[in-house]
Amino acid sequence: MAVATLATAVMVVHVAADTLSRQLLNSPLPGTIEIVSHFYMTAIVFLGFAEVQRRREHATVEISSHIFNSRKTQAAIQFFAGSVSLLLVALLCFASSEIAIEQTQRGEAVPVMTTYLVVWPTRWFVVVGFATFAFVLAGQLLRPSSTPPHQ
Amino acid sequence: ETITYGAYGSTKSVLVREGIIPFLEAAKEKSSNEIDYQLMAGGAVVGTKTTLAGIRDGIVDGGMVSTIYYPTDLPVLNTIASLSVLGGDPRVAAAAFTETVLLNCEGCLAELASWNVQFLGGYSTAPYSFLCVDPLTTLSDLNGKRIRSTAALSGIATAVGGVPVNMTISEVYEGLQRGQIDCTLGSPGWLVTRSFGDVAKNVLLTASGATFGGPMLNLRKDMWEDLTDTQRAVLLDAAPIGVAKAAFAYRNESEKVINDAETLGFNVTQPGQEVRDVIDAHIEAETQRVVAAASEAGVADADAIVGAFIENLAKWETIVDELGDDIDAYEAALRREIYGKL
Amino acid sequence: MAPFEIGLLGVGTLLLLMFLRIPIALSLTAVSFIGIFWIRGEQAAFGALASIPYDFTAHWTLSAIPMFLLMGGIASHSGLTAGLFDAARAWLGRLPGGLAVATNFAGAGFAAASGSSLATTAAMGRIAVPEMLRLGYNPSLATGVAAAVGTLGAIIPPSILIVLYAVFAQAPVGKLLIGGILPGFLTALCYAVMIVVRSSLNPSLAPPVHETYSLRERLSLVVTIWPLPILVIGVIGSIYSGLASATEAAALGALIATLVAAVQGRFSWSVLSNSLRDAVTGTAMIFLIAIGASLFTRFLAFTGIPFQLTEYVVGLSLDVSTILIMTGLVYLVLGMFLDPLGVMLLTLPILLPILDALDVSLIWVGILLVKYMEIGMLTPPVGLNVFVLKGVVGNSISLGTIYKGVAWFLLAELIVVSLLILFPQITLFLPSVMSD
Ligand code: NA
Ligand code: NA
Repeated sequence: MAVATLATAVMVVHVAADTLSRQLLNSPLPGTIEIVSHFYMTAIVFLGFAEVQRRREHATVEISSHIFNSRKTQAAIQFFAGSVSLLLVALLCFASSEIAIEQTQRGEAVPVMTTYLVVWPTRWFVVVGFATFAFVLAGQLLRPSSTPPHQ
Repeated sequence: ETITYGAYGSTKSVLVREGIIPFLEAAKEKSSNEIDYQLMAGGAVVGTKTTLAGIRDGIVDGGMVSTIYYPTDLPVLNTIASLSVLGGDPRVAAAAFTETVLLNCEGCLAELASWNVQFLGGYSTAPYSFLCVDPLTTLSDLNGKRIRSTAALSGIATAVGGVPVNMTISEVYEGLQRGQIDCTLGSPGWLVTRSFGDVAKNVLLTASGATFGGPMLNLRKDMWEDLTDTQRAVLLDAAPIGVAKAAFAYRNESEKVINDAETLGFNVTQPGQEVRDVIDAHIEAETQRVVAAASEAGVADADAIVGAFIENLAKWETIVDELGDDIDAYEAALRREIYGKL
Repeated sequence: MAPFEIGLLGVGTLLLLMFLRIPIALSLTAVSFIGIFWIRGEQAAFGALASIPYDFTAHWTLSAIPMFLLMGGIASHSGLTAGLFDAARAWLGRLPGGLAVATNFAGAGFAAASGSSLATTAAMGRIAVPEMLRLGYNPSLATGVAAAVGTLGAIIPPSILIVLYAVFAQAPVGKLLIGGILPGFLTALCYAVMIVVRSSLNPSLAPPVHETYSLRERLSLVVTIWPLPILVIGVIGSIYSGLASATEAAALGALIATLVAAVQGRFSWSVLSNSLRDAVTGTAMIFLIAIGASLFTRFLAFTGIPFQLTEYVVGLSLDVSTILIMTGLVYLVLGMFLDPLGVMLLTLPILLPILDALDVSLIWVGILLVKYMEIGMLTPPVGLNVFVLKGVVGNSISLGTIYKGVAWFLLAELIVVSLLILFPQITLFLPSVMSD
């Protein structure tokens, strides 16, 4: 999460600096588009998942909680939803780790002018992001909150 | 057999309209509907950066793989593709690339096979010139001007004293209009096809460099191997049709703008010797640089591959010169010189 | 089973999973994974899961989303927008329903700093609703106006929804953002007229407020909101003038908001860190849904449903307005239950090919779709703006009361939407001036 917030702040400064440097000094910062896309965006998005889940803020359709009043039914639904979510996020983590290993071995890079920007490390933001997301889900599954999730 | 074919371009783009669809249609017709296809264009299932893995994983059975998006996945093919400064007539570059990969570059085929790709034909865009808001023709005009260019072609912008700016193609129109950039390197055809001519009416016709090498026609290799001999023959028979039509379409699109410039309200200028000289010097240096960079990146025989490609360029330049505007003759030459030798 | 049938089964399963409270994004992922597995095999399904989240996220244009969220966060956390309501109240308070009208225009002003409809609703709910209740306003009207004006957050630029639409539709994002300006103000105007008419006919809704402000006081209140025009000019002006692309304008906006807050002495590390955290979680939440939708789009493409539906609709050879009205009805129904972002991302793969075949302006349609989605934020049973407002006002006012108040604004929306369909120029005028 700290990395994600830092990436947001640095991205704003970097993009603004590129814009102003291009318009005022006629000298854009090379690689801004690539660095923003591959480094900042992936850090912000993937490293943010766990915190959203910790706050239980991933968008959910709330109809069933208005239909089923029984606490037991609600708890059962919550357990089911939590388990399926955990399974899926684990699957995403597994799939993304395969591609991360592969691209690390290749030394994945993208062209920036006549040179290259190494981007394989950002593949690991995906893995870490889904792993911490899964971790939070598992924790919430084991210790269901007594208060209804806030919307 | 139904081929699910993925294309990042829309059905209206040149490569899909003139290259992929004619290829797939020809295969369908020549096989009496035995080989059918389902086209997923516009990035509906695979995009610029996901097609290669998409073919390997069987998300699609075939697709257009633009080499430049996969520098570390396809290092050998990129040795050829990064020679984009050598791009000129699309008919020459498309044929030379296709021939080099299919006949002169074991490493290319091995690399593609490792991605489960059977290569069937390449393309080249029309050569890039300076498309500018203001009429800029001399080195002193171009000095310090912001020029949108991508990857290896940014060297041309630098060579003429400009400031290379990278922006996504979808931002270029507004960029030209609102003065974020003064020029973009691109095919003169873009003035019409991408409407850049609304905001940038001046072409400095340097015609140096192009994007090529993207294998346009590719099939999943395991599917390819499961086909019957007859089916494979049909596809090899259909491929040159797609290659020829796409190359001619790119060339005609650009020529049309250049020839009709006056009626279209565009201003096309030939570069002076001084501009020519710096660009030629850059092309020379860039070719050396690409070979050195490829060898450094561990591409075996980078020298030989580049040598073969340059030879093939010269060979196809002669062939195309002789053929003129005859697309059937060009297609026949592709069969004779490349596909007939497989 | 034919792919088409797998597709229908997939849509049914999706609704069931969402009903069982699996997050929308993960429901989309689950159905897409199983569907692609079924149609294209195991390796294809894993391949899609492996490549799409990264490929979707590593995207230049979409970086406007965290930056617009940050800009709105700084503007509200540092209190830059707090004076809006007071200023609007000083000028408009004496109209029939004056405070509601003031809330309405203050909301439009807030919308020009915030990219999200929920944030705008929350702000107006906190600032304006307690005041209106204290002065005897009808609770339905007081809460209704705050929930409804929140929708402007997504229409008046900056707007997260518009950026996402632009990326999915491959339409020019700068022109789309500019295209939202007039429809946004038209909406505010229609709301205001409706409030004034209702309050004149039934003064008990909004008891007259006997506050008098001297011209001097009024002007000084306007002066307190000087940062807002700076922010608006900074963002819209830099897009319009060509200093920056829409993406770059988002960065400039976040930076200007920070600088203005600092100049006013309202900046602190906690303002910055809270705004950054909100920007990150907001972005992550939006992207997870968009990634799920991106997977789902691929699954649907394999089923052939979008193509067949396009052929069918184009075969009916309806005119464009009819198709847009039908789309509106579909959005109205889906919007009752689903998150608007989900609605848009679910329907775009089907809608875009149809619009493409009809050669309709993607800017005009985009603004209209955002309007439809925002109406979904107000309709029961799942009206997210209403939920946010309910969260702010607590137990004193029931959901039913808020929905009742909102109903009048939905009536005004009917007029706005009709005008937008009848007169595409309302949307297209400002973007067209841009290209001259
Ligand atoms: Na807004
Ligand atoms: Na709703």
